[in-house]
Amino acid sequence: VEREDFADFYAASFQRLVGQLYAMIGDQSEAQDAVQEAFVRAWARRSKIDRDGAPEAWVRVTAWRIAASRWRRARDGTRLGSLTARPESTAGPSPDWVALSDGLRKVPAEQRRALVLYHLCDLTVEQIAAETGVRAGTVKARLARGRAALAPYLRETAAPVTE
Amino acid sequence: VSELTSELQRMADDAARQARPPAAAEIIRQGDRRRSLTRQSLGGLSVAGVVGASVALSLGLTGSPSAHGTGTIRTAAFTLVSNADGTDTLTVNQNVLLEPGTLQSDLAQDGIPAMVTAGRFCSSDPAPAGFRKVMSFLGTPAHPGPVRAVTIDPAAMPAGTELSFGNFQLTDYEQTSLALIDTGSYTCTSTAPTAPPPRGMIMILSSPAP
Repeated sequence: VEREDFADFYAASFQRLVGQLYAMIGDQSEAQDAVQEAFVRAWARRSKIDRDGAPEAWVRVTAWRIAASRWRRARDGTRLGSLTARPESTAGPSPDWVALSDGLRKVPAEQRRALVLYHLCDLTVEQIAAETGVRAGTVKARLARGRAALAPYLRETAAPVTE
Repeated sequence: VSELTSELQRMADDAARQARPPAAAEIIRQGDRRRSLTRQSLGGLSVAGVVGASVALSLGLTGSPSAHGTGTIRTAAFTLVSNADGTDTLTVNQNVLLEPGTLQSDLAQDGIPAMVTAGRFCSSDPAPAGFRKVMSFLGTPAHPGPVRAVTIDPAAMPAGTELSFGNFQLTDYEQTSLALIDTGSYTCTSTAPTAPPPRGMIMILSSPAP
């Protein structure tokens, strides 16, 4: 990866990745810090990024691990969900947004991660399984449970899981 | 498009708009610095590895101040080097005691989820697979002889797992049991294991008294 290519990749994906990570962990500043650190590691280990051929997924996975590790260190045993917070300066969030944010706060971290990867990152079940290191059946179960937990906060029922 | 999808997208868009990315040049500068420091640290490690071939790994229970560098975390008791291939090398210094919490937090800072405990060892039943891909030795001392440095590959850790380090001070020596645990299901014991845990290992940390 050349500097110019990396800079282009960084400019094109940084904010998107912060948004995705925020949806996963629910903390704006942690999401930005983790994504920023993941990009530093990506450049320091660019030969590995070259081999993998999926730099955005690599940064997303690395940022998730950084955020999860920081959080585990802080709580030593509790679930990630209780850390969830809204962005501090969101202008005029809609009632639906607030309801979903409240609902997500109650969804276990791995379920929320699966929901975000499926609905926001548009990954297939198999791709989510590869990114999170679990079987496809586990991903489907996480999606189903996550949707069930969110159902009271949504006006409609989400579409069934497709491969 | 389901309501869930559109609401998640709106939430992510809000967060993305608030993100303030540093200049790409700054990210590249930090990455270059980290890579450079990692290479310097690896150069020093090869010498230390030879010198330390007969030195017992010694983990203790009192604190030691840490001095973090970018890419390398160095304390009086251990050094944690972030390697260019994504792995980390943990080298424990001779006869210097450390606080388990220090090692745990520094591993976490480098993206390695771990539970480091003193007088307690946590494990899962069944133990997650993959321990041997996550943990390997430098210097390949004859088992169960002294081990001073291990290489940890966090990318090989299955999702939902972390490393468990259980350190025990026994009558004549110290030992640390290591295993992968499922973060959603594990139990802890205050009894020092007398055999390696399933899909794990046990390290004798200092030689038994003569």
